[in-house]
Amino acid sequence: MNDDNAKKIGGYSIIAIMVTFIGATTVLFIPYNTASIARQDAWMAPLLVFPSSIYVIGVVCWLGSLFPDKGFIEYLPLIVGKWLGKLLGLSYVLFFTYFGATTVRETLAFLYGVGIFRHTPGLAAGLLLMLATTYAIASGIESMSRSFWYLWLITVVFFALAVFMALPMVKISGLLPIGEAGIKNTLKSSLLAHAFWGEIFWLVILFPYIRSKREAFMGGLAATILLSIFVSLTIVLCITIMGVETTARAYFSVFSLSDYLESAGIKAVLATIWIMTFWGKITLSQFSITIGLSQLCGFKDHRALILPVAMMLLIFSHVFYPNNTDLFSSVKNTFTSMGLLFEYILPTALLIVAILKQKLGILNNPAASDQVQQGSPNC
Amino acid sequence: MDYVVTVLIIVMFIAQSVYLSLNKRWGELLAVVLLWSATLIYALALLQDWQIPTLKEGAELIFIPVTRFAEALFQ
Repeated sequence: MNDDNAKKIGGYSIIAIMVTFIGATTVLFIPYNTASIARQDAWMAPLLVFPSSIYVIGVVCWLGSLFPDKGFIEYLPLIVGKWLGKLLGLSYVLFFTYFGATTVRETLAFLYGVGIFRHTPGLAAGLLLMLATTYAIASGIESMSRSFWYLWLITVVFFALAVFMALPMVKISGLLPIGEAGIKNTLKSSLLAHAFWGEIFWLVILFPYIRSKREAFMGGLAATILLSIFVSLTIVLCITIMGVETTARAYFSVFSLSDYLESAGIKAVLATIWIMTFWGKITLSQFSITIGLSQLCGFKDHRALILPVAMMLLIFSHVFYPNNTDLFSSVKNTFTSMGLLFEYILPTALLIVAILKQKLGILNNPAASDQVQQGSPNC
Repeated sequence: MDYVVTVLIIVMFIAQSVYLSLNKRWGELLAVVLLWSATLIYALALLQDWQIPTLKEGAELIFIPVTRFAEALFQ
């Protein structure tokens, strides 16, 4: 493992990290995307993607358990050979970079979209955000996971408060007739959701820092269950309170929903907690690029890369997406299949090759050889 | 603000390069120089409104047709 100061993190921290990481953007982007296709049946999409995200957790845990002492980018050459492994590692670092820059841009779109900032230059707001995330990464994985834990508690409490405040306004008839969209449209609406839930793949980056593979699997599983419930509930609330048309048009449905609540302050509270969750998402994205690059180059310490990666993400976020329309259309059209490749197909292919090599006794990893003697690894 | 950020990048670029070369960490220096150079080029492009190819355009070129295909399966 590259970070000498790294401390192991437990299953509860994994729940906090993954729910914050995936939930930050999922709750904002999935309701309008699914509602525009599946109409009042949009709430089914988060439940449909639940099995596939369990599959990703299984693949990731299995891969991680084959190479418990190595990072993801480090063990790619051990599975597919030196050159192909390095090429795959580079592809993953580029994917993480695309993802990180997009997340920074989504944060800025949110900050300006809900009116938190109006006249402040985007680069100034982004610079402050990157300062906070860079500080977290420089502090190490243990501090990061503890911050995620507190952050998650605050988020859950206030999100639950907003849900309870919204309950009296729910008109359940808005969900009827159930199943009108048809199975094809409901499945189509879950395509982007698959990519968002597939972000549980980032567990692979955290795997060497997790106390045990069982905690990794259980933490990931609990996070996925919670996310599916949260997002499904959010979509139900949006549709039953605002109606399908408004939900399908509002980029930040949760905040549009808070306009309907009687308490004026809840919108400010929700905006504050969402800034915190975005901090969490950018922190883990930035961490994955930094650690990935460090492993790709074979460095013992990743600290030298923290600052250039932070500034690169800030600049890329502005160069990639000149405006919000471009951002939302690009995420919808690109991330769907990109997520399918990097979060589902490639990890599966890697696992199959690793298992075959293990069975043939040519997997070049001492830890895996020990496991063969003790029996098959499981999560 | 674009100018401020570009100047900040140049300052950090020089400071970190000097620090790493004084400590003879050549491998890290090479990686850091590459990263800062890419950042600086794109910062200048942002500043001068140059249109240069980006990772996002490459990703769109590859993945948009795949997404369209996947969506067409559910038509």
